[in-house]
Amino acid sequence: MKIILLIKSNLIKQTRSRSFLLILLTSVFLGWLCVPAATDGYEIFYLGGVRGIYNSAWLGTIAALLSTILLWLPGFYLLRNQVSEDKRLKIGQILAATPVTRLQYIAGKVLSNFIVLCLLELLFLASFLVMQIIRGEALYISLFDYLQPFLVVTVPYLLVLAALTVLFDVFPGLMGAFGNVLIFIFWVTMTTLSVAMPENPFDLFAIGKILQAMTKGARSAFPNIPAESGSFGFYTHTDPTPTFEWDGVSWDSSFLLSRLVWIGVSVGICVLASLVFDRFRKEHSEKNQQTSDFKQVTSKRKTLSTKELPTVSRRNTISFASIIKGEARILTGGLSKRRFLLLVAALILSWVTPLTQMRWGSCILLIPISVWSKEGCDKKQYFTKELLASCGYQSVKWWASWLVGLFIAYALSAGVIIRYLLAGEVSHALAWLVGAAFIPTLALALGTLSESSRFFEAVYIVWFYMGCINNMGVLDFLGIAQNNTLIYFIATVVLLVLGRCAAVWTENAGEKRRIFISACDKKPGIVK
Amino acid sequence: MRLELRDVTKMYGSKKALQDINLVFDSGVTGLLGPNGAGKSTLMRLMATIESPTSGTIIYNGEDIAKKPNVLRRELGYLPQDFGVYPNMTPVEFLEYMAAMKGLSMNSARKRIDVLLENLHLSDVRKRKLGGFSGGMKQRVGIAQALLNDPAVLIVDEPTVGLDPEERITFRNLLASLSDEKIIILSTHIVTDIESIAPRIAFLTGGHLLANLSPEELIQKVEGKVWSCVVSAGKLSELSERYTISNAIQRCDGIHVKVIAEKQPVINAEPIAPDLEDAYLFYTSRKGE
Repeated sequence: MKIILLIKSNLIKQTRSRSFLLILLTSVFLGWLCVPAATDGYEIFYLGGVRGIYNSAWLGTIAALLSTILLWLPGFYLLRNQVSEDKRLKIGQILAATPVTRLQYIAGKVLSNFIVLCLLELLFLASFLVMQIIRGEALYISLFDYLQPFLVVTVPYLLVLAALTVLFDVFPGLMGAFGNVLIFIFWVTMTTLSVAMPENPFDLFAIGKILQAMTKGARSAFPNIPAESGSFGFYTHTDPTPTFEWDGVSWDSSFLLSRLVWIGVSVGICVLASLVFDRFRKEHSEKNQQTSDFKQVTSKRKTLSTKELPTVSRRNTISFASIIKGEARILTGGLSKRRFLLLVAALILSWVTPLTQMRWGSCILLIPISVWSKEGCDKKQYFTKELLASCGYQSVKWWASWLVGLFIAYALSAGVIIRYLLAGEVSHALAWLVGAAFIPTLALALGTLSESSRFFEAVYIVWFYMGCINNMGVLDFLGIAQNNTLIYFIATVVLLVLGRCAAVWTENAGEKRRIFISACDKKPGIVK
Repeated sequence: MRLELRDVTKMYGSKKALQDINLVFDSGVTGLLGPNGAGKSTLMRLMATIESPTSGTIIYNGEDIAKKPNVLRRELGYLPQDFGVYPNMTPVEFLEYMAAMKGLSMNSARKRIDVLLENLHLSDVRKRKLGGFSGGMKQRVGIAQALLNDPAVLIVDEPTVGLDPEERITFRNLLASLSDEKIIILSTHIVTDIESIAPRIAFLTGGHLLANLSPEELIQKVEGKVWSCVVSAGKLSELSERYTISNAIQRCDGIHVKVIAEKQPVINAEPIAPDLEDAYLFYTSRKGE
């Protein structure tokens, strides 16, 4: 019973966040984007130039495949700090004083994270179902065909993911940037292995197995297509894509049994996390350092004195340089030596990585993710909103935050841009110049809109993977394989405008929230 | 120097948080007293330009602050009830940042920061990160930022939360020493905090302004309405249902009770001299009328 209440309260907390709402809306949008009409001129899944008819089996399976990219990493960044949040919001010690056991607490977090992930996945599936009706290629809706890949493939990997989100939030050393990098490496390794070893019965994502079954179906209709041709991307075409009817994957018993192993693995991770979890005894949150990570300080006991205060003069104009300095401290404050060294390494790499290897070399722009993700949301994160609101000049702070983010992006990009220019590759240099500006702008806009660092982290990591590493067409914001300079220049300007509008809106958000609360509460009375 | 509220009403949706508030603040300390939900913090947020009134105007030195908030913001020191600090900054870095946000000249701000830290006894921790500070120390940093710009209007919401009794007394003295040339608006639940320094007290309850008087006038209003009597435990619960109990102390001859009532609550009750706490209770919870 206790654990159900824990799950319920966690779910309420998570699903009422603005990040959750934004990710929900993104899921619906992606659902629409990922099921293009035959005449739309693009496909997001390449199978030797053909694709399955949009029936329930095809779309349900594509959803399971896509979620390994669109949900796994964003889901991790969205949910990875649930324990730290309890610490930040100062309810950790209250919970620690209750009879809830460590395992109950951790299991509650894992299960509520799992339910949130399932909700997102089911919404994604629902949007695919709606798209099946809209596209009208196959009108028979089979819920079983939608739910089968969800239950067989998605549920086990989401359980593992939910357990990892909690483990990485309690295991010393995994809570910060190192954990972020490690989970990225884990994910890349697992997806690569999954594609490369389709016969592996212990394949977490089952990508290879599904692609093999799809290719088999395609080859029965189009024998000339290559045996290993399935991949996700942005593939344009002029003629309508030929289609074939596909009935889904026949899961063999050994594979189904292996799914139980992964469920067991997630239980094991959950138990491990509960053993490591210190029940809020130690203050060690690396990400949310509201009260943690700092040596407790005491000042000498003296009576406050009332020594005469010197007068202070006001400037006619605001000191923008001082605000920039303060913003730099806010964004980069708390950088551990390890992260600082990583930044230095990235700086050096930008000067030495061969320009032909920029696909992986672009990873230098992943390192400051935790710096950029503070843009636009520090006031909410550190509860300084009212203090700063009474000072005015909030717009100056907003622009200063953007400039600091921009400076970091260009500091890390300087080596690459200059070397591109020296090599005469002006278009590449220009693309990188615009792409580097796009990152802090995206961070600021999403941070302002969601008032959370997690939404940007979730979006950026997937965008980066698909755009810069996999060079998926229009998502390639650094122009590594495809020049999208104009698109990202416009996107940067649009994001700045949107972000500024969101900033003006959120400056009055406290007031709006009180109006919303009073509208929800039908009882007459007075709100404080 | 004058801050004036004219018919200020604040609605959150259909709920009235404040209704037709008319108040004038001149230099000196004004205490805002009222129970939870009375609208004190809402009133403070309106005066601190964080929110705007639904109707009515707030005038500072002849300017409507809803239209020209920066007129007041330049001269405002504000300490909210709940606030945070940037944990990775030292007190000096944080105060320098706040000084920049308040549009102060950095050279003069640095000198003032030094003295503020000294006055608030934070000099010895000036190079330590705020993340490791105790609640009381963070509160002192909050007080320092409120005084940073030598404000003409100082609005402090529950400023003594987290301070120990000695610090509370000294903070009160600090406010009193500043009150000659500033408008100081102090909101608190602690009646003694206000009693000792505020020559004017505004009582709020249910979003309404009940009274705006001096402590002496407030006490005068409850003259003859405060009673002392000795009762049994059973009688006490009966009394507390009908009247407001200001105090109850267990003694060997029974429970010595201080009752607020228009008329003699029990036969053996004797009228006694009221204090400000009795006046507060009289205004905020009227029973037995």
